[in-house]
Amino acid sequence: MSEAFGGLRTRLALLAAVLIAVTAVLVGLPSGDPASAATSRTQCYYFDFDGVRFHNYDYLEKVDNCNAVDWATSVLFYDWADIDFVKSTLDNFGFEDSSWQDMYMPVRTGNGGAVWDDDGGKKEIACPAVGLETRHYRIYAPPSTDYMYHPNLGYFVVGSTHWDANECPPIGKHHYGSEEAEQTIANRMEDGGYFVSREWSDYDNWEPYRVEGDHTWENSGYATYIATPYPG
Amino acid sequence: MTWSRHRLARFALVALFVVPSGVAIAGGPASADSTRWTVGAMATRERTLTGDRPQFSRRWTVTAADVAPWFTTRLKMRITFANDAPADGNARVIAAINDNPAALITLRTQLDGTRVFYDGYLSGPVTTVTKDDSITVDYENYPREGSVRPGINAFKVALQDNDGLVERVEIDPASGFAATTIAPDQLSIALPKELTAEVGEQFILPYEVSSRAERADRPLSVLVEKAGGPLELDRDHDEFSTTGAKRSGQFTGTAAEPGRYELRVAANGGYNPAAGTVVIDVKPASRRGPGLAAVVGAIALVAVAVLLFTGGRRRAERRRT
Repeated sequence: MSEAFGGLRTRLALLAAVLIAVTAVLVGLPSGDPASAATSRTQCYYFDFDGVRFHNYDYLEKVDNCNAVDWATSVLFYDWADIDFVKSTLDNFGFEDSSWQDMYMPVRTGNGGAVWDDDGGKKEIACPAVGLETRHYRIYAPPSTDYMYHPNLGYFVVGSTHWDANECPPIGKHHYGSEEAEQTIANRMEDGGYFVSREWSDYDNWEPYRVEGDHTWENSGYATYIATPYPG
Repeated sequence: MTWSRHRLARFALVALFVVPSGVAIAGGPASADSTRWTVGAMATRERTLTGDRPQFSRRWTVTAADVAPWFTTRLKMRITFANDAPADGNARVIAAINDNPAALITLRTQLDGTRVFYDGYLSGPVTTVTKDDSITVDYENYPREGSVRPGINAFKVALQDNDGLVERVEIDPASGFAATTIAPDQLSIALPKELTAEVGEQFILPYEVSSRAERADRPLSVLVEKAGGPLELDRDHDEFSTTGAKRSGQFTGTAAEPGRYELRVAANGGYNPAAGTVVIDVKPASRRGPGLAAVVGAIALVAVAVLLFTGGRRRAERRRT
């Protein structure tokens, strides 16, 4: 009798495990795994323009460490850009799903020291199942203002772009294509009537094609500038 | 990162910070004097924004002779919050000169009240959380370069409030823009490019902040920040009640390990921020004498030698006697 119950328990446990695995594959559970640490090709550093500051990479943690960067800074939105405005604008270009994985960048505007901003960013698909992939962007500005300001640029934010694949479940999880994702955002916004200056500024973050863990680098080193028109 | 690398990147960015803006405007009536173009005396209703009337516009003619090296903008207003504002709403009040950025004030409801935040070159970064029914905002800034042009110029203020946070915005008659010969950059900071230090020894980081003193004097704070690395500093900022034409000071630090590390020094005087970077080149500690342990060891060795020598002599003398 007890053997019979023991066998039943084993079978039920196996069945439950199989069901959970199948559900995970079909529904797509977030892995929760942080991205692997990646090393910037060059020394990562910050731009300081009359005290307004941002970096040419974003970081895995709130640590200014070039051996633990995530992606190259590849886009800058200017004129009327603040965090909410850019995100709601990009919602209209296919980036409606939020990401749960924050990355970080030290930023500074006006007076005071640099502060870390964090952003999970937004994607075309919140968590791509095995065989699927999505573009993903993150944007940064000081949390106290949600924008940086300079008379040459107006209100601006900076961001990174890339692709994510096979994240839910993370079987063959991979991240790549920062340059392609930058160009896609530029294409879509240009088609939508936005003023786009492609590869406008040298951010000194050129990354030749190379695979580093689950991170595949490929970046031109030039950031694209996108004007956000008067929203009134 | 080396200083020269930073400089190169900075110059590249300076060159490329100048991005196209191209916007066009329509004509309109002319008013104001040749240095200041303000909303002026208008009926309150005409300069009040609401959900039903979220836009305000005023046009002035600026002659070629009036175009100054710089313009400043001011948006002074009283914002009255809606009684039934949502708990997590957002709103913005923006001002534009010829559709170019001049002011951006964000309002956000949160648990402890309404957060009002903005940053302007003249008003500085401001964050206020209020539970009051209304708040006065006096925002001053250098608008986007090239905003004011000869001909008709439009000053627009808009309330963007999809969440119903705001009941009304009353624009003060002093709002508008003004010509000035004063550049945005009032402060500059002089720092050594590089300092050499030794592990365990103190190094001194001097700074000198200069002000063009063309605007009212304001308090000054000088901050030093580490960009990682085993550097210890005696303090992280200096405070001065006034800036004057020049302020100088120094921070003291020590390094725990050899290497090249970066320190960032920022001067905040209420106007433009000024900042710079110093590379600290830390060398291994050099030998300076034998050290306490070596001295104690040497004394002990000498003492043992003396004891052995004197003991040997006593034994030899006993054998002789």
